[in-house]
Amino acid sequence: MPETMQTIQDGIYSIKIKGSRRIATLARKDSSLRIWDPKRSKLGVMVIKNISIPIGRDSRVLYLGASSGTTVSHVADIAKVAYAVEFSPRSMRNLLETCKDYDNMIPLLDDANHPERYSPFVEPVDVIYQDVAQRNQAEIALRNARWFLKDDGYLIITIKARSIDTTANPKKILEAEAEKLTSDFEIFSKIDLAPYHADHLAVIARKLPQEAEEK
Amino acid sequence: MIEPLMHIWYGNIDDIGFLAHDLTDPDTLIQNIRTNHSPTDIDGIDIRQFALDKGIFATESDYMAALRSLTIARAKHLVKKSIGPDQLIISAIKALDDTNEITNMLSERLEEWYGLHFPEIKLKGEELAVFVAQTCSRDNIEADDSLYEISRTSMGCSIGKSDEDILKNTALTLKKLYADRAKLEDYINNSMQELAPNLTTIAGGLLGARLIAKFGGIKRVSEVPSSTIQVIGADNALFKHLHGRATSPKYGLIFSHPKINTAKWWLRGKIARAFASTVSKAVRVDYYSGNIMENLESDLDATIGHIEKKYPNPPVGKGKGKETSKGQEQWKNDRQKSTRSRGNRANTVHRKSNVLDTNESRHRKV
Repeated sequence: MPETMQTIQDGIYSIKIKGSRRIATLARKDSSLRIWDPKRSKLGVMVIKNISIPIGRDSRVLYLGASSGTTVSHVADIAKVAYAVEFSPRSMRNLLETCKDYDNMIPLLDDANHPERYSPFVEPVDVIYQDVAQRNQAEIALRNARWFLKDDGYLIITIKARSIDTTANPKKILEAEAEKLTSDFEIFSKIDLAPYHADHLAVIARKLPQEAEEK
Repeated sequence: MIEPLMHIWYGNIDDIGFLAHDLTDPDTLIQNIRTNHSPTDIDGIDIRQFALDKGIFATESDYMAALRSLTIARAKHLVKKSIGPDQLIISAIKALDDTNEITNMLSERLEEWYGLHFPEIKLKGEELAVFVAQTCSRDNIEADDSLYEISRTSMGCSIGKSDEDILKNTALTLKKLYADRAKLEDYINNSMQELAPNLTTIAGGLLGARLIAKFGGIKRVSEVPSSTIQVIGADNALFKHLHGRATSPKYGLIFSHPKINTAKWWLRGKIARAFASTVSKAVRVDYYSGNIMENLESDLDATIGHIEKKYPNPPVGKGKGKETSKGQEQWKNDRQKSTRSRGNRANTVHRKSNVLDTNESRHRKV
Protein backbone atom coordinates (compact mmCIF):
# COMPACT_ATOMS: atom_id res chain seq x y z
CA MET A 1 0.00 0.00 0.00
CA PRO A 2 1.41 3.42 -0.85
CA GLU A 3 1.99 5.92 1.90
CA THR A 4 0.56 8.78 -0.10
CA MET A 5 -1.34 9.01 -3.38
CA GLN A 6 -2.07 12.13 -5.40
CA THR A 7 -3.67 12.55 -8.76
CA ILE A 8 -1.36 14.17 -11.33
CA GLN A 9 -4.01 14.07 -14.01
CA ASP A 10 -7.02 11.87 -14.68
CA GLY A 11 -5.86 8.28 -14.38
CA ILE A 12 -2.24 9.05 -13.50
CA TYR A 13 -1.12 9.08 -9.88
CA SER A 14 1.94 10.14 -7.99
CA ILE A 15 2.54 7.84 -5.05
CA LYS A 16 5.06 7.52 -2.28
CA ILE A 17 6.06 3.98 -1.53
CA LYS A 18 8.84 2.98 0.88
CA GLY A 19 9.99 6.55 0.91
CA SER A 20 10.44 6.98 -2.85
CA ARG A 21 8.17 8.83 -5.21
CA ARG A 22 6.75 6.86 -8.11
CA ILE A 23 4.13 7.32 -10.79
CA ALA A 24 1.41 4.76 -11.37
CA THR A 25 -1.83 3.94 -13.14
CA LEU A 26 -4.70 1.69 -12.11
CA ALA A 27 -5.02 -1.59 -14.00
CA ARG A 28 -8.02 -1.72 -16.27
CA LYS A 29 -8.93 -5.21 -15.16
CA ASP A 30 -8.97 -4.98 -11.40
CA SER A 31 -7.93 -1.40 -10.54
CA SER A 32 -4.77 -2.64 -8.88
CA LEU A 33 -1.92 -0.15 -8.67
CA ARG A 34 0.59 -0.46 -11.49
CA ILE A 35 3.91 1.29 -11.07
CA TRP A 36 5.03 3.15 -14.18
CA ASP A 37 8.77 2.85 -14.82
CA PRO A 38 10.23 5.82 -16.71
CA LYS A 39 13.38 3.86 -17.53
CA ARG A 40 11.31 1.57 -19.71
CA SER A 41 8.68 4.06 -20.82
CA LYS A 42 9.33 7.38 -22.48
CA LEU A 43 5.79 8.57 -21.86
CA GLY A 44 6.47 7.89 -18.20
CA VAL A 45 9.46 10.24 -18.36
CA MET A 46 7.20 13.01 -19.61
CA VAL A 47 4.81 12.46 -16.72
CA ILE A 48 7.65 12.53 -14.21
CA LYS A 49 8.87 15.78 -15.69
CA ASN A 50 5.44 17.26 -14.94
CA ILE A 51 4.43 17.61 -18.57
CA SER A 52 0.68 17.56 -19.07
CA ILE A 53 -0.20 14.61 -21.30
CA PRO A 54 -3.16 15.19 -23.65
CA ILE A 55 -4.66 11.76 -22.96
CA GLY A 56 -7.85 11.49 -20.91
CA ARG A 57 -10.65 9.08 -20.06
CA ASP A 58 -12.40 9.70 -23.38
CA SER A 59 -9.33 9.64 -25.57
CA ARG A 60 -8.97 7.31 -28.49
CA VAL A 61 -5.27 6.72 -29.00
CA LEU A 62 -3.32 5.31 -31.92
CA TYR A 63 -0.03 3.93 -30.63
CA LEU A 64 2.65 3.36 -33.23
CA GLY A 65 5.55 1.18 -32.11
CA ALA A 66 3.75 -0.68 -29.34
CA SER A 67 6.62 -3.14 -28.86
CA SER A 68 5.96 -5.62 -26.03
CA GLY A 69 3.24 -3.48 -24.53
CA THR A 70 4.74 -1.83 -21.45
CA THR A 71 3.82 1.77 -22.25
CA VAL A 72 0.67 0.86 -24.21
CA SER A 73 -0.71 -0.85 -21.14
CA HIS A 74 -0.47 2.38 -19.16
CA VAL A 75 -2.11 4.27 -22.02
CA ALA A 76 -4.89 1.68 -22.03
CA ASP A 77 -5.28 2.15 -18.27
CA ILE A 78 -5.88 5.87 -18.79
CA ALA A 79 -7.65 6.17 -22.14
CA LYS A 80 -10.84 4.93 -23.74
CA VAL A 81 -9.20 2.77 -26.42
CA ALA A 82 -5.65 2.10 -27.58
CA TYR A 83 -4.90 0.87 -31.10
CA ALA A 84 -1.48 -0.76 -30.77
CA VAL A 85 0.52 -1.02 -34.00
CA GLU A 86 3.69 -3.11 -33.87
CA PHE A 87 5.81 -4.37 -36.75
CA SER A 88 7.81 -7.19 -35.19
CA PRO A 89 6.16 -10.62 -34.79
CA ARG A 90 8.43 -11.38 -31.86
CA SER A 91 7.23 -8.31 -29.95
CA MET A 92 3.66 -8.98 -30.99
CA ARG A 93 3.81 -12.29 -29.16
CA ASN A 94 4.39 -10.42 -25.91
CA LEU A 95 1.86 -7.75 -26.83
CA LEU A 96 -0.84 -10.37 -27.32
CA GLU A 97 -0.21 -11.60 -23.78
CA THR A 98 -0.69 -8.06 -22.50
CA CYS A 99 -3.89 -7.72 -24.54
CA LYS A 100 -5.49 -10.53 -22.56
CA ASP A 101 -5.95 -8.19 -19.60
CA TYR A 102 -7.38 -5.35 -21.65
CA ASP A 103 -10.72 -5.11 -23.38
CA ASN A 104 -9.75 -1.77 -24.89
CA MET A 105 -6.43 -2.64 -26.50
CA ILE A 106 -6.48 -3.53 -30.19
CA PRO A 107 -3.33 -5.31 -31.48
CA LEU A 108 -2.25 -4.69 -35.06
CA LEU A 109 0.74 -6.47 -36.56
CA ASP A 110 1.49 -3.91 -39.23
CA ASP A 111 4.05 -1.56 -40.68
CA ALA A 112 3.35 2.02 -39.59
CA ASN A 113 4.60 3.13 -43.00
CA HIS A 114 1.38 1.78 -44.52
CA PRO A 115 -1.59 3.11 -42.59
CA GLU A 116 -3.94 2.02 -45.35
CA ARG A 117 -3.30 -1.59 -44.31
CA TYR A 118 -4.71 -1.19 -40.84
CA SER A 119 -7.28 1.45 -41.67
CA PRO A 120 -10.23 -0.98 -41.62
CA PHE A 121 -9.66 -1.47 -37.92
CA VAL A 122 -8.85 2.05 -36.77
CA GLU A 123 -11.28 4.91 -36.32
CA PRO A 124 -10.43 8.63 -36.24
CA VAL A 125 -8.42 9.19 -33.07
CA ASP A 126 -7.76 12.01 -30.63
CA VAL A 127 -4.11 11.25 -30.05
CA ILE A 128 -1.31 9.59 -31.95
CA TYR A 129 1.58 8.39 -29.80
CA GLN A 130 4.59 7.42 -31.82
CA ASP A 131 7.74 5.63 -30.61
CA VAL A 132 9.29 3.95 -33.64
CA ALA A 133 13.03 3.97 -34.12
CA GLN A 134 13.07 4.65 -37.86
CA ARG A 135 14.86 7.09 -40.13
CA ASN A 136 11.66 8.49 -41.62
CA GLN A 137 9.94 9.02 -38.30
CA ALA A 138 8.53 12.39 -39.28
CA GLU A 139 7.09 11.01 -42.51
CA ILE A 140 5.38 8.17 -40.65
CA ALA A 141 3.84 10.64 -38.22
CA LEU A 142 2.56 12.90 -40.98
CA ARG A 143 1.11 10.03 -42.95
CA ASN A 144 -0.71 8.45 -40.02
CA ALA A 145 -1.97 11.83 -38.86
CA ARG A 146 -3.47 12.50 -42.27
CA TRP A 147 -5.25 9.18 -42.18
CA PHE A 148 -6.43 8.99 -38.61
CA LEU A 149 -5.89 12.08 -36.49
CA LYS A 150 -8.85 14.39 -35.92
CA ASP A 151 -8.35 18.10 -36.50
CA ASP A 152 -7.04 19.63 -33.29
CA GLY A 153 -5.85 16.17 -32.31
CA TYR A 154 -2.52 15.70 -30.60
CA LEU A 155 0.67 14.04 -31.69
CA ILE A 156 3.14 12.82 -29.08
CA ILE A 157 6.30 11.61 -30.79
CA THR A 158 9.63 10.49 -29.42
CA ILE A 159 12.57 11.13 -31.72
CA LYS A 160 15.76 9.17 -31.31
CA ALA A 161 18.74 10.97 -32.78
CA ARG A 162 20.72 7.80 -33.43
CA SER A 163 17.95 6.28 -35.52
CA ILE A 164 18.07 9.15 -37.97
CA ASP A 165 21.82 9.35 -38.39
CA THR A 166 24.39 7.59 -36.28
CA THR A 167 27.16 10.04 -36.99
CA ALA A 168 25.91 13.63 -36.98
CA ASN A 169 25.30 15.93 -34.05
CA PRO A 170 22.26 14.73 -32.06
CA LYS A 171 20.97 18.21 -31.24
CA LYS A 172 20.92 19.21 -34.89
CA ILE A 173 19.21 16.02 -35.98
CA LEU A 174 16.48 16.44 -33.37
CA GLU A 175 15.86 20.05 -34.39
CA ALA A 176 15.68 19.09 -38.06
CA GLU A 177 13.20 16.26 -37.43
CA ALA A 178 10.98 18.49 -35.32
CA GLU A 179 11.02 21.04 -38.15
CA LYS A 180 9.61 18.49 -40.58
CA LEU A 181 6.46 18.25 -38.50
CA THR A 182 5.62 21.93 -38.77
CA SER A 183 3.92 21.52 -42.15
CA ASP A 184 0.95 19.80 -40.50
CA PHE A 185 1.42 20.53 -36.82
CA GLU A 186 1.83 23.31 -34.33
CA ILE A 187 4.52 22.29 -31.88
CA PHE A 188 3.59 22.82 -28.25
CA SER A 189 6.49 21.45 -26.31
CA LYS A 190 9.78 19.76 -26.79
CA ILE A 191 11.03 17.66 -23.92
CA ASP A 192 14.53 16.34 -23.47
CA LEU A 193 14.20 12.83 -22.09
CA ALA A 194 17.59 12.87 -20.39
CA PRO A 195 18.78 11.47 -18.04
CA TYR A 196 16.42 8.52 -18.50
CA HIS A 197 16.99 8.21 -22.25
CA ALA A 198 20.00 9.82 -23.87
CA ASP A 199 19.74 11.82 -27.12
CA HIS A 200 15.96 11.51 -27.21
CA LEU A 201 13.50 14.30 -27.73
CA ALA A 202 9.76 14.10 -27.15
CA VAL A 203 7.55 16.49 -29.07
CA ILE A 204 3.93 17.28 -28.30
CA ALA A 205 2.13 18.93 -31.18
CA ARG A 206 -1.36 19.79 -32.27
CA LYS A 207 -2.75 19.09 -35.73
CA LEU A 208 -3.43 22.17 -37.81
CA PRO A 209 -6.82 22.25 -39.55
CA GLN A 210 -6.48 20.91 -43.07
CA GLU A 211 -8.32 21.44 -46.31
CA ALA A 212 -8.47 18.58 -48.81
CA GLU A 213 -5.07 16.90 -48.86
CA GLU A 214 -3.58 13.93 -50.65
CA LYS A 215 -2.72 10.98 -48.46
CA MET B 1 -12.47 -18.14 -36.37
CA ILE B 2 -11.33 -15.19 -38.43
CA GLU B 3 -13.93 -15.66 -41.20
CA PRO B 4 -17.24 -15.16 -39.46
CA LEU B 5 -16.02 -11.96 -37.78
CA MET B 6 -14.62 -10.53 -41.02
CA HIS B 7 -17.95 -11.06 -42.73
CA ILE B 8 -19.59 -8.73 -40.27
CA TRP B 9 -17.65 -5.90 -41.86
CA TYR B 10 -17.05 -7.06 -45.37
CA GLY B 11 -20.14 -9.10 -46.01
CA ASN B 12 -22.96 -7.42 -47.90
CA ILE B 13 -22.07 -3.81 -47.37
CA ASP B 14 -22.05 -2.62 -50.97
CA ASP B 15 -24.03 0.57 -50.85
CA ILE B 16 -20.94 2.66 -50.24
CA GLY B 17 -18.63 0.79 -52.53
CA PHE B 18 -17.33 -2.00 -50.39
CA LEU B 19 -16.90 -5.20 -52.27
CA ALA B 20 -18.48 -8.30 -50.93
CA HIS B 21 -15.67 -10.80 -50.99
CA ASP B 22 -15.48 -14.49 -50.53
CA LEU B 23 -12.88 -14.40 -47.81
CA THR B 24 -9.66 -16.07 -48.86
CA ASP B 25 -6.80 -13.76 -48.10
CA PRO B 26 -7.30 -11.25 -45.30
CA ASP B 27 -4.51 -9.06 -46.64
CA THR B 28 -6.04 -8.43 -50.07
CA LEU B 29 -9.34 -7.71 -48.46
CA ILE B 30 -7.88 -5.16 -46.19
CA GLN B 31 -6.02 -3.49 -49.04
CA ASN B 32 -9.27 -3.15 -50.94
CA ILE B 33 -11.41 -1.71 -48.28
CA ARG B 34 -10.40 1.92 -48.05
CA THR B 35 -8.29 2.34 -51.13
CA ASN B 36 -11.23 1.28 -53.24
CA HIS B 37 -13.68 3.55 -51.56
CA SER B 38 -12.17 6.99 -52.17
CA PRO B 39 -8.40 7.36 -52.33
CA THR B 40 -8.53 11.12 -52.14
CA ASP B 41 -10.98 11.31 -49.28
CA ILE B 42 -8.84 12.11 -46.30
CA ASP B 43 -11.50 11.35 -43.74
CA GLY B 44 -12.19 7.84 -44.89
CA ILE B 45 -14.90 6.09 -43.00
CA ASP B 46 -15.49 6.21 -39.29
CA ILE B 47 -15.77 2.46 -39.09
CA ARG B 48 -17.13 2.46 -35.59
CA GLN B 49 -19.86 5.00 -36.31
CA PHE B 50 -20.69 3.27 -39.57
CA ALA B 51 -21.09 -0.09 -37.86
CA LEU B 52 -23.35 1.40 -35.19
CA ASP B 53 -25.41 3.41 -37.68
CA LYS B 54 -26.01 0.40 -39.90
CA GLY B 55 -27.12 -1.57 -36.89
CA ILE B 56 -24.39 -4.16 -37.28
CA PHE B 57 -23.75 -3.68 -33.58
CA ALA B 58 -26.19 -2.61 -30.93
CA THR B 59 -23.72 -0.92 -28.63
CA GLU B 60 -20.20 0.42 -28.62
CA SER B 61 -19.01 -2.32 -26.34
CA ASP B 62 -20.37 -4.98 -28.71
CA TYR B 63 -18.36 -3.34 -31.46
CA MET B 64 -15.21 -3.20 -29.34
CA ALA B 65 -15.51 -6.81 -28.29
CA ALA B 66 -15.89 -7.98 -31.90
CA LEU B 67 -13.06 -5.74 -33.09
CA ARG B 68 -10.81 -7.04 -30.35
CA SER B 69 -11.48 -10.72 -31.14
CA LEU B 70 -10.97 -10.08 -34.81
CA THR B 71 -7.69 -8.22 -34.45
CA ILE B 72 -6.30 -10.72 -31.96
CA ALA B 73 -7.12 -13.58 -34.34
CA ARG B 74 -5.57 -11.66 -37.22
CA ALA B 75 -2.42 -10.86 -35.27
CA LYS B 76 -1.97 -14.50 -34.25
CA HIS B 77 -2.48 -15.57 -37.86
CA LEU B 78 0.16 -13.12 -39.08
CA VAL B 79 2.64 -14.09 -36.37
CA LYS B 80 2.30 -17.73 -37.35
CA LYS B 81 2.74 -16.89 -41.02
CA SER B 82 5.94 -15.00 -40.30
CA ILE B 83 7.84 -17.98 -38.91
CA GLY B 84 9.56 -19.95 -41.64
CA PRO B 85 12.07 -22.82 -41.61
CA ASP B 86 14.88 -20.30 -41.76
CA GLN B 87 13.95 -19.13 -38.26
CA LEU B 88 14.57 -22.61 -36.87
CA ILE B 89 17.97 -22.70 -38.53
CA ILE B 90 18.83 -19.28 -37.13
CA SER B 91 18.10 -20.46 -33.61
CA ALA B 92 20.13 -23.62 -34.21
CA ILE B 93 23.21 -21.74 -35.38
CA LYS B 94 22.96 -19.41 -32.41
CA ALA B 95 22.65 -22.46 -30.18
CA LEU B 96 25.79 -23.84 -31.83
CA ASP B 97 27.74 -20.66 -31.10
CA ASP B 98 26.50 -20.68 -27.51
CA THR B 99 27.45 -24.34 -27.14
CA ASN B 100 30.93 -23.59 -28.46
CA GLU B 101 31.44 -20.87 -25.90
CA ILE B 102 30.19 -23.02 -23.06
CA THR B 103 32.25 -26.00 -24.18
CA ASN B 104 35.43 -23.96 -24.36
CA MET B 105 34.86 -22.48 -20.92
CA LEU B 106 34.06 -25.77 -19.27
CA SER B 107 36.92 -27.64 -20.91
CA GLU B 108 39.39 -25.07 -19.62
CA ARG B 109 37.89 -25.45 -16.21
CA LEU B 110 38.24 -29.24 -16.35
CA GLU B 111 41.89 -28.91 -17.33
CA GLU B 112 42.56 -26.71 -14.32
CA TRP B 113 40.54 -28.85 -11.99
CA TYR B 114 41.84 -32.24 -13.10
CA GLY B 115 45.33 -30.80 -13.24
CA LEU B 116 45.27 -30.61 -9.45
CA HIS B 117 45.22 -34.40 -9.39
CA PHE B 118 47.20 -35.27 -12.48
CA PRO B 119 49.07 -32.20 -13.86
CA GLU B 120 51.38 -34.23 -16.08
CA ILE B 121 48.62 -35.43 -18.38
CA LYS B 122 48.87 -33.84 -21.80
CA LEU B 123 45.28 -34.45 -22.88
CA LYS B 124 42.94 -31.52 -23.55
CA GLY B 125 39.42 -30.83 -24.71
CA GLU B 126 37.32 -33.75 -25.76
CA GLU B 127 40.08 -36.31 -25.20
CA LEU B 128 40.49 -35.17 -21.62
CA ALA B 129 36.77 -35.26 -21.03
CA VAL B 130 36.58 -38.83 -22.29
CA PHE B 131 39.55 -39.86 -20.15
CA VAL B 132 38.26 -38.29 -16.98
CA ALA B 133 34.77 -39.65 -17.52
CA GLN B 134 36.13 -43.15 -17.96
CA THR B 135 39.21 -43.41 -15.73
CA CYS B 136 39.54 -40.29 -13.58
CA SER B 137 41.66 -41.42 -10.61
CA ARG B 138 45.34 -42.17 -11.28
CA ASP B 139 44.89 -45.38 -9.33
CA ASN B 140 42.63 -46.68 -12.08
CA ILE B 141 45.36 -46.58 -14.69
CA GLU B 142 46.48 -50.06 -15.78
CA ALA B 143 50.13 -51.09 -15.69
CA ASP B 144 50.26 -51.64 -19.45
CA ASP B 145 48.94 -48.10 -20.17
CA SER B 146 51.36 -45.53 -21.59
CA LEU B 147 50.36 -43.13 -18.82
CA TYR B 148 51.25 -45.60 -16.05
CA GLU B 149 54.81 -44.45 -15.46
CA ILE B 150 54.08 -40.74 -15.11
CA SER B 151 51.01 -41.44 -13.03
CA ARG B 152 53.09 -43.23 -10.40
CA THR B 153 55.39 -40.25 -9.84
CA SER B 154 52.82 -37.48 -10.29
CA MET B 155 53.04 -34.31 -8.21
CA GLY B 156 49.26 -34.06 -8.17
CA CYS B 157 47.14 -34.49 -5.05
CA SER B 158 45.23 -37.65 -4.23
CA ILE B 159 41.46 -37.69 -4.57
CA GLY B 160 38.76 -39.57 -2.68
CA LYS B 161 35.59 -41.19 -3.99
CA SER B 162 33.42 -38.07 -3.81
CA ASP B 163 36.07 -35.96 -5.58
CA GLU B 164 36.31 -38.58 -8.29
CA ASP B 165 32.54 -38.75 -8.71
CA ILE B 166 32.11 -35.03 -9.12
CA LEU B 167 34.98 -34.77 -11.59
CA LYS B 168 33.46 -37.57 -13.62
CA ASN B 169 30.15 -35.75 -13.50
CA THR B 170 31.56 -32.61 -15.07
CA ALA B 171 33.53 -34.65 -17.58
CA LEU B 172 30.35 -36.43 -18.65
CA THR B 173 28.55 -33.12 -19.12
CA LEU B 174 31.42 -31.93 -21.24
CA LYS B 175 31.38 -35.12 -23.26
CA LYS B 176 27.68 -34.60 -23.93
CA LEU B 177 28.32 -31.01 -24.98
CA TYR B 178 30.88 -32.11 -27.53
CA ALA B 179 28.40 -34.64 -28.89
CA ASP B 180 25.65 -31.98 -28.96
CA ARG B 181 27.91 -29.68 -30.90
CA ALA B 182 28.36 -32.33 -33.56
CA LYS B 183 24.60 -33.00 -33.64
CA LEU B 184 23.84 -29.32 -34.06
CA GLU B 185 26.28 -29.07 -36.94
CA ASP B 186 24.68 -32.05 -38.64
CA TYR B 187 21.21 -30.63 -38.12
CA ILE B 188 22.23 -27.28 -39.55
CA ASN B 189 23.94 -28.82 -42.55
CA ASN B 190 20.96 -31.02 -43.31
CA SER B 191 18.40 -28.28 -42.83
CA MET B 192 20.42 -25.88 -44.96
CA GLN B 193 20.69 -28.50 -47.68
CA GLU B 194 16.92 -28.70 -47.72
CA LEU B 195 16.15 -25.01 -47.36
CA ALA B 196 18.83 -23.59 -49.65
CA PRO B 197 20.71 -26.24 -51.63
CA ASN B 198 22.56 -23.82 -53.93
CA LEU B 199 23.72 -21.64 -51.06
CA THR B 200 24.90 -24.77 -49.22
CA THR B 201 26.84 -25.93 -52.28
CA ILE B 202 28.77 -22.67 -52.46
CA ALA B 203 29.16 -21.50 -48.91
CA GLY B 204 28.57 -24.67 -46.95
CA GLY B 205 25.86 -25.23 -44.37
CA LEU B 206 27.42 -23.34 -41.48
CA LEU B 207 28.49 -20.18 -43.31
CA GLY B 208 25.17 -20.17 -45.16
CA ALA B 209 23.29 -20.42 -41.87
CA ARG B 210 25.43 -17.64 -40.38
CA LEU B 211 24.57 -15.36 -43.30
CA ILE B 212 20.88 -16.06 -42.90
CA ALA B 213 21.13 -15.48 -39.15
CA LYS B 214 22.95 -12.18 -39.66
CA PHE B 215 20.26 -10.89 -41.99
CA GLY B 216 17.41 -12.32 -39.96
CA GLY B 217 15.92 -14.47 -42.71
CA ILE B 218 16.60 -15.94 -46.11
CA LYS B 219 14.31 -13.43 -47.81
CA ARG B 220 16.48 -10.56 -46.62
CA VAL B 221 19.62 -12.23 -47.91
CA SER B 222 18.03 -12.54 -51.34
CA GLU B 223 17.12 -8.85 -51.35
CA VAL B 224 20.47 -7.23 -50.63
CA PRO B 225 23.15 -6.50 -53.24
CA SER B 226 26.10 -8.89 -53.38
CA SER B 227 28.42 -6.19 -52.07
CA THR B 228 26.50 -6.24 -48.80
CA ILE B 229 26.89 -10.00 -48.55
CA GLN B 230 30.57 -9.50 -49.21
CA VAL B 231 31.19 -7.26 -46.21
CA ILE B 232 28.46 -8.21 -43.75
CA GLY B 233 30.07 -9.16 -40.47
CA ALA B 234 32.88 -6.60 -40.71
CA ASP B 235 30.74 -4.09 -38.86
CA ASN B 236 33.46 -1.98 -37.27
CA ALA B 237 35.44 -1.70 -40.49
CA LEU B 238 32.31 -0.99 -42.49
CA PHE B 239 31.12 1.87 -40.31
CA LYS B 240 34.57 3.33 -40.17
CA HIS B 241 34.57 3.32 -43.96
CA LEU B 242 31.07 4.82 -44.17
CA HIS B 243 32.14 7.63 -41.90
CA GLY B 244 34.97 8.35 -44.28
CA ARG B 245 37.85 7.32 -42.06
CA ALA B 246 39.05 4.16 -43.79
CA THR B 247 39.02 2.13 -46.99
CA SER B 248 36.20 -0.35 -47.44
CA PRO B 249 36.56 -3.79 -45.88
CA LYS B 250 37.16 -6.56 -48.39
CA TYR B 251 35.23 -9.31 -46.63
CA GLY B 252 33.25 -10.00 -43.49
CA LEU B 253 31.65 -13.29 -42.48
CA ILE B 254 32.60 -14.85 -45.79
CA PHE B 255 36.27 -14.71 -44.84
CA SER B 256 35.77 -17.97 -42.97
CA HIS B 257 35.43 -19.76 -46.31
CA PRO B 258 38.63 -21.52 -47.47
CA LYS B 259 38.31 -20.16 -51.00
CA ILE B 260 38.99 -16.75 -49.52
CA ASN B 261 41.16 -17.27 -46.48
CA THR B 262 43.63 -19.58 -48.22
CA ALA B 263 43.97 -17.36 -51.27
CA LYS B 264 47.03 -15.19 -51.89
CA TRP B 265 46.70 -11.88 -50.11
CA TRP B 266 46.58 -9.67 -53.16
CA LEU B 267 43.77 -11.76 -54.70
CA ARG B 268 41.51 -11.97 -51.68
CA GLY B 269 39.47 -8.87 -52.37
CA LYS B 270 38.75 -9.86 -55.95
CA ILE B 271 37.92 -13.42 -55.00
CA ALA B 272 35.68 -12.19 -52.18
CA ARG B 273 33.74 -10.11 -54.68
CA ALA B 274 33.28 -13.02 -57.08
CA PHE B 275 32.34 -15.30 -54.21
CA ALA B 276 29.76 -12.88 -52.83
CA SER B 277 28.19 -12.42 -56.22
CA THR B 278 27.85 -16.21 -56.63
CA VAL B 279 26.34 -16.47 -53.14
CA SER B 280 23.85 -13.79 -54.11
CA LYS B 281 22.76 -15.64 -57.23
CA ALA B 282 22.54 -18.93 -55.33
CA VAL B 283 20.38 -17.59 -52.53
CA ARG B 284 18.02 -15.85 -54.93
CA VAL B 285 17.43 -19.05 -56.85
CA ASP B 286 16.98 -20.90 -53.56
CA TYR B 287 14.44 -18.41 -52.25
CA TYR B 288 12.39 -17.95 -55.39
CA SER B 289 12.46 -21.15 -57.36
CA GLY B 290 14.20 -23.86 -55.36
CA ASN B 291 15.81 -25.26 -58.49
CA ILE B 292 19.31 -26.68 -58.36
CA MET B 293 21.74 -24.60 -60.36
CA GLU B 294 24.17 -26.62 -62.37
CA ASN B 295 27.82 -25.62 -62.63
CA LEU B 296 27.46 -23.10 -59.83
CA GLU B 297 30.66 -24.09 -58.11
CA SER B 298 32.61 -24.90 -61.25
CA ASP B 299 31.80 -21.48 -62.71
CA LEU B 300 33.03 -19.80 -59.54
CA ASP B 301 36.22 -21.89 -59.59
CA ALA B 302 36.74 -20.94 -63.23
CA THR B 303 36.42 -17.25 -62.36
CA ILE B 304 38.88 -17.66 -59.50
CA GLY B 305 41.23 -19.41 -61.90
CA HIS B 306 41.08 -16.41 -64.23
CA ILE B 307 41.82 -14.04 -61.37
CA GLU B 308 44.82 -16.09 -60.30
CA LYS B 309 46.11 -16.20 -63.85
CA LYS B 310 45.67 -12.49 -64.39
CA TYR B 311 47.48 -11.44 -61.23
CA PRO B 312 50.23 -13.99 -60.64
CA ASN B 313 52.39 -11.54 -58.73
CA PRO B 314 51.72 -9.16 -55.88
CA PRO B 315 51.49 -5.55 -57.03
CA VAL B 316 54.52 -3.28 -56.62
CA GLY B 317 54.02 0.48 -56.85
CA LYS B 318 55.04 4.02 -55.87
CA GLY B 319 52.94 4.32 -52.73
CA LYS B 320 53.62 3.36 -49.14
CA GLY B 321 52.21 0.22 -47.59
CA LYS B 322 51.81 -3.19 -49.08
CA GLU B 323 52.70 -2.16 -52.60
CA THR B 324 56.44 -1.79 -51.95
CA SER B 325 58.69 -4.77 -51.18
CA LYS B 326 59.54 -3.07 -47.92
CA GLY B 327 55.83 -2.76 -47.32
CA GLN B 328 55.38 -6.46 -47.95
CA GLU B 329 58.00 -7.28 -45.34
CA GLN B 330 56.20 -4.98 -42.94
CA TRP B 331 52.92 -6.65 -43.77
CA LYS B 332 54.30 -10.11 -43.04
CA ASN B 333 55.65 -8.93 -39.70
CA ASP B 334 52.37 -7.29 -38.83
CA ARG B 335 50.46 -10.52 -39.16
CA GLN B 336 52.18 -11.75 -36.05
CA LYS B 337 51.45 -8.60 -34.12
CA SER B 338 48.30 -7.86 -32.18
CA THR B 339 45.14 -6.74 -33.87
CA ARG B 340 45.33 -3.39 -32.16
CA SER B 341 48.50 -2.36 -33.90
CA ARG B 342 47.11 -3.65 -37.17
CA GLY B 343 44.13 -1.40 -36.70
CA ASN B 344 46.31 1.62 -36.11
CA ARG B 345 48.30 0.79 -39.19
CA ALA B 346 45.10 0.79 -41.24
CA ASN B 347 44.40 4.31 -40.06
CA THR B 348 47.70 5.86 -40.92
CA VAL B 349 48.81 4.10 -44.05
CA HIS B 350 45.76 3.12 -46.05
CA ARG B 351 43.94 6.42 -46.23
CA LYS B 352 41.33 6.40 -48.97
CA SER B 353 42.94 9.08 -51.10
CA ASN B 354 46.35 7.52 -50.77
CA VAL B 355 45.28 4.21 -52.24
CA LEU B 356 43.29 5.74 -55.08
CA ASP B 357 46.24 7.90 -56.15
CA THR B 358 48.86 5.27 -56.20
CA ASN B 359 48.06 1.79 -57.39
CA GLU B 360 45.14 1.58 -59.79
CA SER B 361 45.65 -2.07 -60.57
CA ARG B 362 44.41 -2.99 -57.11
CA HIS B 363 41.05 -1.51 -57.98
CA ARG B 364 40.72 -2.72 -61.51
CA LYS B 365 37.48 -4.65 -61.75
CA VAL B 366 37.78 -8.27 -62.77
